[in-house]
Amino acid sequence: MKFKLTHTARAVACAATFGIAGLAHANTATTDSDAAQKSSQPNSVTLIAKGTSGAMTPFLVDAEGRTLYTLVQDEKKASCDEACMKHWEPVVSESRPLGKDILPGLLKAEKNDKGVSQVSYGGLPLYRFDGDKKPGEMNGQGFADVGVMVSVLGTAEHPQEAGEKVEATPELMAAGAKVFASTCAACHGAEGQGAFGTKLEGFDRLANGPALLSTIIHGLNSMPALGGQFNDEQVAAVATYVRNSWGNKFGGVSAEQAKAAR
Amino acid sequence: MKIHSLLAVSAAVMFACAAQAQVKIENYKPISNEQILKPADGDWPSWRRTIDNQGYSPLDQVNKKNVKQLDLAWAWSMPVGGLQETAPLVHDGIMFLGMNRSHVQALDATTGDLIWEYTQPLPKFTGGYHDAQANRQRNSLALYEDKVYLTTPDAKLVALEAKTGKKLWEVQVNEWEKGYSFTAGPLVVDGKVFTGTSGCSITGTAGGCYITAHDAETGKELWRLNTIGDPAVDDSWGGLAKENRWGGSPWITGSYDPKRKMLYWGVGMPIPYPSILRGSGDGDALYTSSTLAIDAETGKVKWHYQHMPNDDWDLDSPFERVLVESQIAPSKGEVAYMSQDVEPGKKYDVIASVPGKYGTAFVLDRDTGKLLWARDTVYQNVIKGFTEDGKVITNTDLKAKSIDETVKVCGGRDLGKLWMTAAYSPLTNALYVPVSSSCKELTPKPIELRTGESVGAQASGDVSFAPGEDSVGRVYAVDVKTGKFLWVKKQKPIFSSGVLTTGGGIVFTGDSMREFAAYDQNNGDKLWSIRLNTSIGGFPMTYSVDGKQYIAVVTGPNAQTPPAAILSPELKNVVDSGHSVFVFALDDIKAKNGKK
Repeated sequence: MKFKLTHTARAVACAATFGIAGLAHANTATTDSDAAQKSSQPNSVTLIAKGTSGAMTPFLVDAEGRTLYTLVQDEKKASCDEACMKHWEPVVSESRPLGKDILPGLLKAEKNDKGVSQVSYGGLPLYRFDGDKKPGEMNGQGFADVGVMVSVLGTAEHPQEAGEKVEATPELMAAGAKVFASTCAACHGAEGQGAFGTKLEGFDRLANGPALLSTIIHGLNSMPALGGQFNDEQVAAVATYVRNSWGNKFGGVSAEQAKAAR
Repeated sequence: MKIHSLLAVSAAVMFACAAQAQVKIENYKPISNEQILKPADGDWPSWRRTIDNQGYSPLDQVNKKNVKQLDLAWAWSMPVGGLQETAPLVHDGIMFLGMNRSHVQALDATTGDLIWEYTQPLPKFTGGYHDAQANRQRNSLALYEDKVYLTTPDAKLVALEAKTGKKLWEVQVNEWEKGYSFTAGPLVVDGKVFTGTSGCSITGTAGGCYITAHDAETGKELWRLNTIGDPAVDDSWGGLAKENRWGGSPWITGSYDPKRKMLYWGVGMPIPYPSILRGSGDGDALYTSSTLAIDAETGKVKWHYQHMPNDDWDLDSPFERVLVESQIAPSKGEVAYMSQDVEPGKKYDVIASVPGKYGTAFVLDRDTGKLLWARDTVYQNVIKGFTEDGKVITNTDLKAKSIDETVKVCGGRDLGKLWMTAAYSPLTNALYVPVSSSCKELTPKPIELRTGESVGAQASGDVSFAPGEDSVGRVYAVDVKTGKFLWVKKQKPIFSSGVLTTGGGIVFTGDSMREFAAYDQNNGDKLWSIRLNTSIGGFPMTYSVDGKQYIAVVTGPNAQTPPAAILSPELKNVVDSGHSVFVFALDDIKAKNGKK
């Protein structure tokens, strides 16, 4: 393992309890031997689920909660050779795979160059890593410079640099309060209590800084895109403000992070 | 002591009023099935008064000639905030108000005096979307026999005793923990309570969204229909497993045909909105965005008509289905589609509806589900046309092919037709439809699926006026027989309440800039108007007690105001609180038995 994950990995309970057998054979009365036989059939449904760990952007796991990866080829470095490939087992599915709390439209199974029907998400072929012995382990992240976890958004999730923690300074908060009052309060309420817009008080989705910045800049569902209206400093200020008001304590966001989210 | 005696007098008056209200509720007569099918002229016992969803009252004491003399009879401050989608009901002189967060009040309909109130305890919802559902409860009540029925944001059906407000029973219709809720009220008739589920855009609800029937007396479930998981629709989802489907919320109360014992119910859009993230490919994704004709005894779908196959833009199609008997003779230059099989002079039992945010009007044959005619109201670019046999051709050119492709969709995403209901008048054979007109940029956006949150997955960009327009608010008066417009009313503020039609020849409706107004059904002339305390909301209605006709309307915020205010900043000049009921009557009419 090349680098250290900053957050403790833990087993993904929802995925672990959502087994393949349970899905494929729900409502079917079977004896134990029947069930065992059916579970061993190669064409049972392949399940891909959402996994979480600390503040990481949620990522893909299999039905047992094992972390899934895609392999990236950096032009400057050697690609995964035969020895390297031995560590990676393609996730296969003869039929259309099933998603659990992920976007079904991004999930596909297509024949790869070896003729195997391999599962992909957002166009990224998925693999298991032989160094992960149990659910929740992420030992393949960065392995041989090719293994990268896959976010539920359908992007290869490069290992997070232990970024500098941004403080919610009084200056940032004051600037954010100004933006919030003039633009956001009409829908989200002056105290973040919600009205036309989502209630922000106690809204734990705000913990995900990049997702919040993206929502402010690009909009989401009925929330309008405000990226054209505000500069990076203003976006960072208002994001900091909503993350640290009304009892929320999610820390600050920097203008650099806002810029990266554009 | 002048002040002292004044206080004593007012206390005595208050006591007398309360006592009068108390007598009224003690004498409250249960409402029979026959009175639901054909209400007394002065009653408004169901959401749209009659279960054909016409929203028409035959009362004509207030008419075109004297409407100018309307005066305030009483007003009442509502104790709960949120979006204002309340539908007051009146039977036997008692007004029932079903408000947000499952708060119910019974008032004396002649004075507004409170008789009883009931609050259903609600759980703490996880996720902003589910919590918001509790703050947009519309027409949440229905009356039947001696009961008041309430649907709740935690997906319960509750029966209260009409005389006391005491809870008689409750049933958990769907698992609220998964995200299911109700935002629309029940329909009660022929001994059954019918409900349509909301919130099937929420992560945990994958695989099912429901229309249900329960026994009106006991609450026992009789049947349920899965709008996206019925085996009959499996091959319309592009191979997508049931467990990976969302949407199909039937989130507006349906209508009922007692002769056929059929329900006509609208179903909402598929989720995620863009098909490339939904994974349903070129499939039509049934029964989303459809009218369903449902056998009320069994819950089986007799036919369906899909208004927006394979929707990509959250344009929905659940809005009110209005049952009308009319000759059909579409006017060639006016309609976008007309059936070749229509027999001149024959009276058809039809469904007239503007079912989706895109504003297109459809008239369907109630027996066959065949389209008789269709036409646009506001400008839209999402329906390209119709096949020869009347099927909608969706404009697939506007479907995003990749996750960074932005399309500009006209026809009302966030600012189009919404829950604000049309009303029909038999005097003109016209449907009066409030719609907003706009265009919007939309881009697919991958999101994390979270508990209690919507799986919409689409970013919305700039909102704009429709080509050649400089305002948003519209009321269309549409002739059901010909498809012609009797008149069109255009203005900057959105029409933010439902529409009421009366035997006095009047259309009542209200807007987001506080104006509640009466229009002439024939030509749209404004006959009377008044500016109230905030945006007009909910469902204006009328009733009479002891020979005196009252017009009631509620006020409070509407969800379309913020996008409308982006286009016309002067529309921000309203305070989004002050939820109230206002009741008007003619000043010189004394109730016949008014002095008790």
